[in-house]
Amino acid sequence: MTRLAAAGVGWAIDGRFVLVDVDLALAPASITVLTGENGAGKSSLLDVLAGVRKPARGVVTLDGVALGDIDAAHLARRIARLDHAPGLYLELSALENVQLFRALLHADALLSDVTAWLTEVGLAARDHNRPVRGFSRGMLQRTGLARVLASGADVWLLDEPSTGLDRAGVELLTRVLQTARDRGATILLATHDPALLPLADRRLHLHLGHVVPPVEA
Amino acid sequence: MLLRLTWLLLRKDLRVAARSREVFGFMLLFSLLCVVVFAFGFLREGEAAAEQVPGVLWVTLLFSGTVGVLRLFAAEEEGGTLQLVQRTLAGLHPLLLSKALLQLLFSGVTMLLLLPVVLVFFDAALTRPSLTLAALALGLVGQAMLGALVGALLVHVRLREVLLPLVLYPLLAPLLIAGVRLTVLAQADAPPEALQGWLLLMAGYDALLIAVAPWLHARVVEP
Amino acid sequence: MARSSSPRPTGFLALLSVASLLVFAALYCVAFVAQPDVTLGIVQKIFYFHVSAAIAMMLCLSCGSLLSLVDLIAPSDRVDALAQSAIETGLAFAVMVLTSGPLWARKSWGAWWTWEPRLTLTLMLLLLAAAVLGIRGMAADGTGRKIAAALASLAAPVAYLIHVAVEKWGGTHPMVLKGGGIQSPGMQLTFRVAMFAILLFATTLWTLRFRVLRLEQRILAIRLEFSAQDVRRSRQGGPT
Repeated sequence: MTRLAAAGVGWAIDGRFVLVDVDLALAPASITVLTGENGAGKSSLLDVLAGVRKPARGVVTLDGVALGDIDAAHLARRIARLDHAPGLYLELSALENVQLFRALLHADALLSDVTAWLTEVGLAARDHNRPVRGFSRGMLQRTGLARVLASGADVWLLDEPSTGLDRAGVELLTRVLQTARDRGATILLATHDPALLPLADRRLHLHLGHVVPPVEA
Repeated sequence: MLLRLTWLLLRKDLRVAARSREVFGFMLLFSLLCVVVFAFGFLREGEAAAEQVPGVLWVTLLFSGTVGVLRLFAAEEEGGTLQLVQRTLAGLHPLLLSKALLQLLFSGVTMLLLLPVVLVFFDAALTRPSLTLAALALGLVGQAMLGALVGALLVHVRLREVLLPLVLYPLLAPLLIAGVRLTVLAQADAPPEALQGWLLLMAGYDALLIAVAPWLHARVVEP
Repeated sequence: MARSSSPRPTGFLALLSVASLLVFAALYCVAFVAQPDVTLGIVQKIFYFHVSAAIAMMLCLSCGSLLSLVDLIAPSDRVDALAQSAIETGLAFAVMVLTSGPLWARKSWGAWWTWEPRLTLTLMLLLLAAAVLGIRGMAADGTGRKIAAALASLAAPVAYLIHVAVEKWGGTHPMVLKGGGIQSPGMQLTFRVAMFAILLFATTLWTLRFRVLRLEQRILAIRLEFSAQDVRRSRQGGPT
């Protein structure tokens, strides 16, 4: 069974194809780790898979339906992103950020649960209410992860999620990802971090604009 | 739904603005500075200063409004949240609307604080305050809507600081011309028939912008 | 393949020749057929090209605005190229109008520039068109086209409103708008020839620019296709 799939996807920027004939199928309850050199197009692929960018060729489907045919709001509730940019308002507190995105995605949001997510990503209670501008990179990353959790999405596309995380943070991330997978989430990690490789149910390598199984070293 | 989401986003923007204390204070300072600079430039010995009021008032609001428009999406850019917000429940309309309301709020308060200052500096009195205020309100509504649209369209454009006024001012020209004329006529205590056409023109343009801007925004931003 | 889809531009060359001949014919008419104006003298002869250029400008910019709207509703490379070339041609004629206008104004009104409604509108349109084209060039991949289209489609209603506004504005400061009537048959003939020549010239420029843009689009498409094939080839050739 396939949740998110790409078929013959091509994507170009500045008049040059970066991704060519990408075929990819991600199953529910699975963690896929995507590696690839810098500039191989990992972030672009994540953008295309999230429906943020329209592929020049081919089609991306979620549960068999092309992303273009899915209502953008519904799509945002199904697919969550975590990028290089934290995706947070720097003047708002962690709590307010997660509350805002939760409320923007779910009309019937019960905002009391938000604290639970923040605790789940290991943010101490004293940090819940101060503006995230003062946060370290790792704390921003944790808050971003809480935003992903709160979105309730079942497809997670994470770009270098362990950036700035300390060892405890990476362990926590591992736990969070495993729990999400066990609940049925489809997770794609673009990463170079060896610490995250053992998580993978499946590994893919982006090389020369398409996805291949990795060469075993 | 649209209103709820717009309110959510607007409240967020107000919080951000209150905490960063960034845009609004500078808008106000900048507008004061404009008035002073115009006084240097336009006032002549022996000429009635009051005659300059309509022009100074409108051009100052136009310039200080641009400062606000340029910073409308600053919070989104800093945190990388623009795309996230664009792809939420109701899509793009609440985003545009909340930014327009934010701009209107800032420019409206600036206007209310600026008006007495200009009147004092230029030794003038409002002959028909309600009319002048109505014209100013119509102008600011249009500026807010257009500013939110152009600001949203140009978020990722290089040299945005230069290009934004370059498109914004010609597009605002109808409101500026009509607004200044209305203020002049109101100060001269002109008969209502002379004013109707101008008011209609401003209201018409505002209505057009409110109707069309969300659609244009959505067409451009959709993937 | 490339050859068959780009035939010799015979139609275009014919258009170019006819337009050039007509422009010379118009120049001849302006110089020798049209009598000098009774009150304004020889300067009035600017009128023939000035007014024609103004009409060409308005037509081009209106088309550009309308086509931009069409491109927003149903995106197509062809319509986009048509719209962009229309705006560019309109911009060229706006420059022509704003050069010939003040020359005429200096003699007939005694000032290089007056805030006369039509002059003001033309200046605003020139600025707007230039800004739209500028933004198009500055925006990243693909988005510039959409942004420019959105702004350009707003431009037509705005131009109308500016027109209404400056007319009303002008109304409070009465001014001599008519620089001189065209009374004699010679003048009328000249005006018709000049108008036709300029409009045909505008069409030629528009067509030329459109063809260039279409070629650019094709080159980009070909380059894009090659880049894809390049990637595919390197996969087969290189070590995996």
